[in-house]
Amino acid sequence: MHISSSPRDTGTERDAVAASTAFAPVTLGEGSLVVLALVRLFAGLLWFQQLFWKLPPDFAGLHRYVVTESQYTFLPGYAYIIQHIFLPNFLLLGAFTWSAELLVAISLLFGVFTRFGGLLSTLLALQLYVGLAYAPGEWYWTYGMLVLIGVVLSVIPTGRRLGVDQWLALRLERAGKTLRVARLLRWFV
Amino acid sequence: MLKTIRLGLLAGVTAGFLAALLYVVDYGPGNSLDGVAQWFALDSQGAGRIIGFLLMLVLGTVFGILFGTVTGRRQVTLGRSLGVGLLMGFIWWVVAAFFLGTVINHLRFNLSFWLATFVPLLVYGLLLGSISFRWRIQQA
Repeated sequence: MHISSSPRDTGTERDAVAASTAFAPVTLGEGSLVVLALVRLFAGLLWFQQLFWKLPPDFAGLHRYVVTESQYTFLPGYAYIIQHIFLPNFLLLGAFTWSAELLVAISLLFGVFTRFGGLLSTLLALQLYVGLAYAPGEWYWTYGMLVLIGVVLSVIPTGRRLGVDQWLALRLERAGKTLRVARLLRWFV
Repeated sequence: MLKTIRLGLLAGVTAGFLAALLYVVDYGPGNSLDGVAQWFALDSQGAGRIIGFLLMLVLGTVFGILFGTVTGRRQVTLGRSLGVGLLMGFIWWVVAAFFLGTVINHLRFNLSFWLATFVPLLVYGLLLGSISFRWRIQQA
């Protein structure tokens, strides 16, 4: 039993208890996890649907947006990169963009390496924010929100419910004891 | 056995409903559901979306029952449940979207058609396997 010698000691102890409670790990309930998984699913649908207006082999729908980015980006020097590197190699840019978005869509829809999908979607959305947020007819928060959704999906393991990650997590946990690659991959589920 | 079939039915209708929602969120809303009705040549300007939505629920239930029958007898693991679920989604795509849609009803098969039909039906399968496994564990 602990007996405090002064009222000051009791205050310090109370502060310590309050601090440990405030910073204790938060465990989400089953309902919250399923809701987050559904959010992940529909975020994946968002990326999935954007594949259809810029389909290979010509990625035609993408071209006018890249041109718009070159005219309205707020990042100094980015317009130069778009005009002199991206646009002359448009097919390569289109293939990269389309593949990256497909990867994000598959990752989020199927909950497979979901946090990697979230991270990649954050990068893609950041690029859109930098290029398109201040273009005429655009609402800057559209791309801002897209970035924020990506950030949330890269820090919360939403694939652990209604996703392949619930199966992968256990296997990577076991393999992580001996394999460094598995330890690295574990972060993405 | 009957219990797992009933569980498969409930998981199937739930997964079918969620997969149908994936077809609802578009510029329509629900234009893509008309595409589902097209697989069976049941599309129409007025009722195509409703028919598509109902088809998603009905076929979701049917494949849920099939899932319950296949997984019913054996001890089910998460990996097996997800695997069989994905297989159900694949069979649904082969039978309804590919065979009935493109072979019988002559819908154009291209990358766009393949993506728009194959991926959501595989997602259905994943949801079916995942939901069903969860409910089986809870009931055990």
